[in-house]
Amino acid sequence: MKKELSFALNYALNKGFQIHPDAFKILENVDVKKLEKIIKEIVREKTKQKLFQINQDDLETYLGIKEDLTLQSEIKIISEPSSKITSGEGVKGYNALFSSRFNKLKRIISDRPESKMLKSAASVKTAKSEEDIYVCGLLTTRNIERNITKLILEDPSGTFEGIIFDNELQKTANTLLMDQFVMARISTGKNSGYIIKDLILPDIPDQAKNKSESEAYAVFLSDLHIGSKYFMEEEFSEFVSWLSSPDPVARKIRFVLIGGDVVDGVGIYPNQDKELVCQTIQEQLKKAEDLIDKIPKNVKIIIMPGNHDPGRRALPQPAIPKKYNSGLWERENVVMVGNPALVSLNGVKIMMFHGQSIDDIVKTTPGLSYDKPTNVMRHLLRARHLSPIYGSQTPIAPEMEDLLVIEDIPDIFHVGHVHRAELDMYKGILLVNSGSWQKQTPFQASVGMTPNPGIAIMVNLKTFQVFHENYSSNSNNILQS
Amino acid sequence: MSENDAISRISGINMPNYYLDYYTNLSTDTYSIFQHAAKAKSSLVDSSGIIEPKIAFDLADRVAKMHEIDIADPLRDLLKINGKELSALILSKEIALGKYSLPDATLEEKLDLAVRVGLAIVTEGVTIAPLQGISEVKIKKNKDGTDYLSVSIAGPMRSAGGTESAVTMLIADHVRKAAGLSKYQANSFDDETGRFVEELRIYEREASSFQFHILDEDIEHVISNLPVELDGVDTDPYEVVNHKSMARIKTDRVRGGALRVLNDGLIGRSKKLLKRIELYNLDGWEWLNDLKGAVQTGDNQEDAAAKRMREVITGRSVLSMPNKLGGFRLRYGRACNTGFAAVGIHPVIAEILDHTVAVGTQIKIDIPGKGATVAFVDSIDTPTVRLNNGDVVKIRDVKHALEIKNEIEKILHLGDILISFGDFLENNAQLVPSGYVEEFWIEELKQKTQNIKSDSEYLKQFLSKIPSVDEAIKISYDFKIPLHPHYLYFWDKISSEDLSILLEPTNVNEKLIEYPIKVKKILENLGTPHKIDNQKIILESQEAKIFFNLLFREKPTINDFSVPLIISKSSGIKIKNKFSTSVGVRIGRPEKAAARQMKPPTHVLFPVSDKGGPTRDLLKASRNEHFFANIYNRICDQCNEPSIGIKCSNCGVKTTITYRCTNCRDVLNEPFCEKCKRKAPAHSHKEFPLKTRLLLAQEKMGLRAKEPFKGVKELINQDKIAEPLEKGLTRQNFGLTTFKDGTVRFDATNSPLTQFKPSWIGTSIEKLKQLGYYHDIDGNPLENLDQIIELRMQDVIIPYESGKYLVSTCKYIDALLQKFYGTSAFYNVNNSKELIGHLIIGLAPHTSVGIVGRIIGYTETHVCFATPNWHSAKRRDADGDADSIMLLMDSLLNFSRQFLSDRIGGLMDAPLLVQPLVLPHESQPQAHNLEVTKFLPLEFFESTFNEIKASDINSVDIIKSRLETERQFYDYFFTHPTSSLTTSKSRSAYSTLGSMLDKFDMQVKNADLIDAVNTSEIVSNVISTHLVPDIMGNLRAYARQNFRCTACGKSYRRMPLIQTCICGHKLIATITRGSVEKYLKLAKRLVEKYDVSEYQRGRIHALSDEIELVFGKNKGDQSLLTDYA
Repeated sequence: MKKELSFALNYALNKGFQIHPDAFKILENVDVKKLEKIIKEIVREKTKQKLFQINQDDLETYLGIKEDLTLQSEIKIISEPSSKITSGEGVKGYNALFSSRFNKLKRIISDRPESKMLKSAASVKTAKSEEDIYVCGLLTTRNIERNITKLILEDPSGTFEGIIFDNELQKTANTLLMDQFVMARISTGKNSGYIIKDLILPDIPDQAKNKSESEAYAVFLSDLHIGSKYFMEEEFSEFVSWLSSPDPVARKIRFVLIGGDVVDGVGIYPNQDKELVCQTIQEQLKKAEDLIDKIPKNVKIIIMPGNHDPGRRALPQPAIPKKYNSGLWERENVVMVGNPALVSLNGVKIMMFHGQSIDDIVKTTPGLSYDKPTNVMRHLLRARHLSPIYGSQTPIAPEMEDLLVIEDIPDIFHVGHVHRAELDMYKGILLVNSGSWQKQTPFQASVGMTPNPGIAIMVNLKTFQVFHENYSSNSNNILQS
Repeated sequence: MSENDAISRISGINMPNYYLDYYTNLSTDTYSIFQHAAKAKSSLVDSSGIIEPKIAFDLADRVAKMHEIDIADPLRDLLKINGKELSALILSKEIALGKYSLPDATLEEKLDLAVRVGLAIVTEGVTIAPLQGISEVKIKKNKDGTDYLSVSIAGPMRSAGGTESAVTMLIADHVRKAAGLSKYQANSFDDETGRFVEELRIYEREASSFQFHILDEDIEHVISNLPVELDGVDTDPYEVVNHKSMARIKTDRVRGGALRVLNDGLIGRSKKLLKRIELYNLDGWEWLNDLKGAVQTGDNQEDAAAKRMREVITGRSVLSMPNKLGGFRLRYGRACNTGFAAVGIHPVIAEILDHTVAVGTQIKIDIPGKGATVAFVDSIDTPTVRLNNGDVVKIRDVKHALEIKNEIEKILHLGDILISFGDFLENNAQLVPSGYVEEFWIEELKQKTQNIKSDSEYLKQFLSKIPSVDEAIKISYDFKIPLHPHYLYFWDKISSEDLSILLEPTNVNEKLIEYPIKVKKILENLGTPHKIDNQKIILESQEAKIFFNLLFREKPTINDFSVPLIISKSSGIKIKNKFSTSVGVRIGRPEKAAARQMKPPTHVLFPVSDKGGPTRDLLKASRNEHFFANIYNRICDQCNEPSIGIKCSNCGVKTTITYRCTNCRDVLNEPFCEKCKRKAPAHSHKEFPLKTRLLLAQEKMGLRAKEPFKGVKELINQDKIAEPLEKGLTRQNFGLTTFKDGTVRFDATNSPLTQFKPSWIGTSIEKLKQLGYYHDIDGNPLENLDQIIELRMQDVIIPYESGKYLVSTCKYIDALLQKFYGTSAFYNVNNSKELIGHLIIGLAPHTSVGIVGRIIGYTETHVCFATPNWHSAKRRDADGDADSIMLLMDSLLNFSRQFLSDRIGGLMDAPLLVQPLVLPHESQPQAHNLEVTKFLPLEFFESTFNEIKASDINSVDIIKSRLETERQFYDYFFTHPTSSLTTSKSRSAYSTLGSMLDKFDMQVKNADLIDAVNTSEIVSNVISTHLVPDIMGNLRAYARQNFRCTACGKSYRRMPLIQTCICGHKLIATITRGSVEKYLKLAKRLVEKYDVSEYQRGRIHALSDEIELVFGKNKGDQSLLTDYA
């Protein structure tokens, strides 16, 4: 018997209490640090009631172990791409993809009053107007020469080229992502060119937040990298067993979301075999299944793939194929979704996206860095697109519909990929980068990337209050917000 | 150039008379070609009126001519006393102080010249780094108002090499001090150290790799301490993110040249730099001591070599794995066609491997490292093979090989690879123990004959002949000389258990030994030939005799000693280790001999834009009613028409040049528009009477242009100067094309040769005598075709194909001389025989000095044979690179720097200078490491067992030890003779096999055939280095691909929303399902068939699944080229 437990028992016995064997069993599983406090409080309470037996019910009530049947756990998959992939190929596919992107975003921006004055790129040339006019399109080229920025936008009628003189506006222009949708207010310049006076992004309107009726909690995880030497197996297992502990927060958890890179994969980077403990995808997923098995059955788990998981790398990604591990698919409390996915948990809309596009965006946008992924997430929300840049690192498949446009506005935006856990808010949307469960790899060390792994983020879906449990032993390893 | 110039250059150098004659003749011939060319050029019908390549004799000359500064004599004097670096420092200081400049030159101009000339001296005036590797040298202001020096580096600095590029900064600092400028103060405007750190890491990640890996703290240390600014021009389209728009750094992109100087130069070579700094007493650089220094990428060197061997390239056969019995056995020595990074293997190998290798095929070897080319030497040990019927045979010679070739089941032992001591020396490598080879035995015998007086005459006969088996055994018994290597097996490679099994034959006598079949593997390891008869192994005659004497006269006692020791003890015959190590060999590039063409091939440098269709046909373009071309504004005032030649081809009047302002479109006489205050270019888009000019040219040359008469799309040079159409017409008529600089070139792999037989090169005795060859190597008069003759310094033996091509070039030049330039023909050559004795120049890529050579014969191979000194003058060794050959006259008449791009790197590979004479003492140190000994001494063989560094050996005669003496010119001895230079095929299968799959097929076939190569390992390597990256690369690229217009070729980063090209035509994908799946089936089949890892198998299956998830399930399942059985 543990020292703390016998201390607690003696304490209760000395006060003249009896402990029922069933209650004893529960106490055995209680966190030793909290044991003394629990016993003292129960003893004080029961003394008031003049009842001198501590039984199972007392403990369950106190610890909230008793399953709170008032907590809902309702999952709805609003959209996910698995069934929609391989719809297009080559030229035809890409034509459809970018038309879809343009049309969807034009529809979004048409809610704004200025859009009434929109002209097509081709008709701008013939428009003789003293007033300012508006054009919109996908950004195709940006040239910065000395103190002038030149932008080329494109719509289905052709291209529009304009220049920016204003310093502040140039800064805005420089943070635009290639191929993102933008609307410009323009006027005719002296030498027959066009001057861009303002740049308007689709962005997020102010809106009311959806809330869960009951106080169910969701856990946000990503980038487990199971199978890698650097996967923090011990810490992760500790977290998983915490889920079944009597901790009041743990008792209310009804959802676990995994935002990609569940496993480390095979052949993702050169000489990966030397950094793997499991050499095949099957082994890696088996191990993932074993870990997930330890999560209580009343918790629903959503698993989304990332760039390390099997399937395909091009966005949008289908769910991890069943053939690699049918066990996960057949589990009742597990839902396999593709990347990106929009899910509703007790009515709260959560946009899940692994975050591959962060690489391209950080590389080309001034002021952004891997240390602050939520800043990149703001850019995505403003652009209303999860991965606008085409032709850089992130492959984008030629699907007939652009599934990466952010059409529905989420309440929570969940991203991973960069191994930096961070929280933020943007226009009422909770931004969560869920960090990772992989220690710093030699590659990350060589490029100076310092992750803050081992942090589990939990959100109360009724109040949107955020909790976190930190399993890292390193004191510098903290959650950013 | 004057004739006396050349003669005075060689006077005072100690050399035999025939060499004096030789050099004098070369000089005279070069001179007469110059005169003839100069006369032709003076007709002014060409686009340039002078001969552009300049003659330069030596380093001093080259530097002076390249920078047009009169420093040749003082530099020559300096170089006599000081080394290159010190001379560079002294001279650049003088230049900085204005000694060689005009009085009105600014300080900035002087410093610019000083740094460039300094670097030119350090790089021996051969690379273009000083011209184009330094973009500019400027005086800038520090924040405190003081002046400092800034050096801006461009990409071609790379051609200078790491140490030299860093020395540029030392020179710059030296002249900065001389000029009294302040130090550069880093980080006074922006975070410049941070910029370098970020930029370097981005460059490493996105653009290219460096030789070394360096630490961030070293970068910060260097940049904050550099006394001169290290700046650069951008080289790659990658931008920094955090350190943009800095006050002093004008670009936001990565500056590859500057980064390379920092990484591979200042930090990577900091140790070498420190040595120089100490040597020359330079101060202000002590901080270099604090650097952590560089880590060679790829761990330590030995590992790197082994790693390279493991890196199998798809389609490139592996012939031998390192240190494996059955692989190529290292043999020290040199034949007349090896050394200088050429290694010898037995011609039998080429025959039994279906000509996987040919003369000049590049191979990668792990000892002594780096690359090498193949040469054939037939006096070394031959391969031992197992036949289909189980017999093991040691192949006697090429004839024998051809007889049994189709019955070979496995090559058990590959035989020897001959590597020269000089190559070990050059690579600063450790010696590897020598096996017991014939030369070793002979040296031991020599020593015995000195000690044993009585029988020395008897023994001496074996210095030049192999003893019979009886004689060999007798010598070993009587004189305690180890058993002759000819009768030696690999006793050192079997265990004592193996030996005890061998001691139990089923039948034994001196003539015949019978073994049960189970000992076969042991006998195969030993390399003992045997026969299989009725499930029995039979050793006969020689083998039986050797076995009988070694094993069965006196039964050996098995103990803990090595097998050779056990046998030596029992038999009384000393057995030495026959094996030492095997050298890993894999094929690199195939040999090359082909006309150098532009892509696409071009007859004339004349722009037709898109008027000529996809073939850029001038005839097609001329059918346009109005033909416009963007060319040089050379106008004939008389005819009022554009002209290409300096004189108008219509009326013969000298033309004028005008300039046109791009802004106000005014025509000017100056290259500057006063009105618009901007430069006006000398070219413009204007109508050109192409049709009439073509007619005129055809009439003039008496030739008719045939379709397609290929021009270029546009001219790349700054002034858009075109070539006269007559040149193109004549080239087309003789089946020639031009290179971008106006010359006609032929490329061939370099191969060294120091001696030849007339029969090898197809040249008659009479002709050789005319060329000045009178004696063979033993001093006997030249009489028959099989005498061995020493090759002269600048004489070359070129492939037959090359000869034919040059004959056509001669005809082309004669036609030009007569009909275009209006002078007399020069060559009058009708066939390759008549071409012998004519002068060519050899030119290596990345350099700009052409080396004069003389054709003396032809070879049925794909290499250009010449002395190591000649190749070295081009800055090349024989490690598999191909250099250009062009007629000297062609380079003088038709080369023009004006055709070349002004862009960085444009001057590489152009004959800016011509070096008429090659003197051994002026060669690169590598040529001085060539061994020229007749025998490797006993001392040498013995010291190989101590595995000492090659540089610690003094007993081998190399050229270096003969410098400045007469014998630096002749008596380049060799240790191993050869009876032929080549095999029955001149081209390797690699240059004839078409697809990658055929090559891969051959690779697997060879791996299966050679015992020393593990096929699964090869397959596994091919999968991970080629197939997986190909499939994966294309799959990833598919979803971020570009699109291309089917009509105009314009490329789009992404599909535009208008869905067509701006020209209205359709766009197509650049990557399709077919290109992604190209190797998929092959890969799947290989992972099933061969023993590869689970990880690898998993990768292929995952990729296959991914392809389906990108493209959908394959419906048609159409068969691909790669689906072969």
